[in-house]
Amino acid sequence: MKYSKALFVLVMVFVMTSSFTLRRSAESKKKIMADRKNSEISYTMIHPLHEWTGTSKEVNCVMLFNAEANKVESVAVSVLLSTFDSKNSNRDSHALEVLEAIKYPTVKLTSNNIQQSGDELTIHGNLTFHNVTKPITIVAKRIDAKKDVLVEGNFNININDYQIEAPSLMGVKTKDEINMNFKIMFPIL
Amino acid sequence: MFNLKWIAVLAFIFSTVQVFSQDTSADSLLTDLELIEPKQELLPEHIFITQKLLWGKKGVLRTTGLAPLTAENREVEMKIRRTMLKLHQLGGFVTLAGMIAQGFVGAKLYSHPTSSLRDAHENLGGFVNTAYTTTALLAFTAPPPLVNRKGLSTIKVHKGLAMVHLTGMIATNILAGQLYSHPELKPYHRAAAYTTFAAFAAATIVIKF
Repeated sequence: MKYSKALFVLVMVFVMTSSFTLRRSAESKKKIMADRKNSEISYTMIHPLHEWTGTSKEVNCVMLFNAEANKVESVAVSVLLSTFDSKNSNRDSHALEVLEAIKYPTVKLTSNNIQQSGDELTIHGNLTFHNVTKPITIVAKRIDAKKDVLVEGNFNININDYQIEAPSLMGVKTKDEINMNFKIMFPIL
Repeated sequence: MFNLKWIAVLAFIFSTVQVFSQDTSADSLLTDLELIEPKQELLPEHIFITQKLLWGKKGVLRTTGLAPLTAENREVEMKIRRTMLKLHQLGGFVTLAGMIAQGFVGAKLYSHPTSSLRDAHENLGGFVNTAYTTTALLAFTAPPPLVNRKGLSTIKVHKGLAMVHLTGMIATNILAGQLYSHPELKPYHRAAAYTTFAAFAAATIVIKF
């Protein structure tokens, strides 16, 4: 009987402390959706004849922000490939064919490992592009404003790594390396 | 004692559920995004009229059941489109070469008219017309792209120039048919042919990936 009472008390203490800790933790951590009006992701590709940039202003991004530690804990980004506009409809359409956008319509990034040093963020995550997921490390800059946090940076990817065949014009292929630029705004207040 | 045990067990389950319900991993965040993300449309908002008649939501190939509008079919259509546009590109170069040759033969025919040159000019005309029509049909009947944005771009200029050389081709051919009875129309036939060539060459150059 004594043993059961002691067990009961122990379990209740565990439940109460864990609930309290979780509540506090949940209060300090919040999911924040990126402000799409002030966010964009772009790519730059190079063909021997010219270079161009395609931009998406329809960035779906959410982060888990720990307000107490003032730290980004995890992040997920998903962008519909057809939202990248290079100001040349024919080129965008060709790119979507090469990327098999009907089968694999989005490019996605997830990260649970974000290190912060000053205003520099080192994001270790996984990039899924053309249904191929590869680990990636991105160095970004965090710029804090009164009500927002802006995260911006760039990184390179090789389309061969994602089993994408470089598109060609007049029999000449584009370079395999794409430069990605991003600017994502999070309203923290 | 029995009640206490059950209360303890329930409380433990409750706290465990709470722990697992706090899943805030990036994958969980991604799942949240996927719920609100718009889906990829199978057809663009704007489709060129001839493509719409064939491949639009209510196009002939859809309504007859030959090519129902499904994601799987659109994937195949994208491959067909690419092949057709590559052939369109090749056809464009062949037509351009034919036009250049026709320019030389035509110019010679003006200065030294002979029956053999006229035959060559007519035969070349037939070749250019066939190559041109095939090239145009490949573009007009290709499955539509996934996106078709508004605004000026090189493809819009290409299409604008296509309207000029299409009109020029028709005019050149109509005038050619009248030259036997109205030889005074020769300068107009030549002007129409040169305009067609200029617009066609510009349309070839302007297109870029």
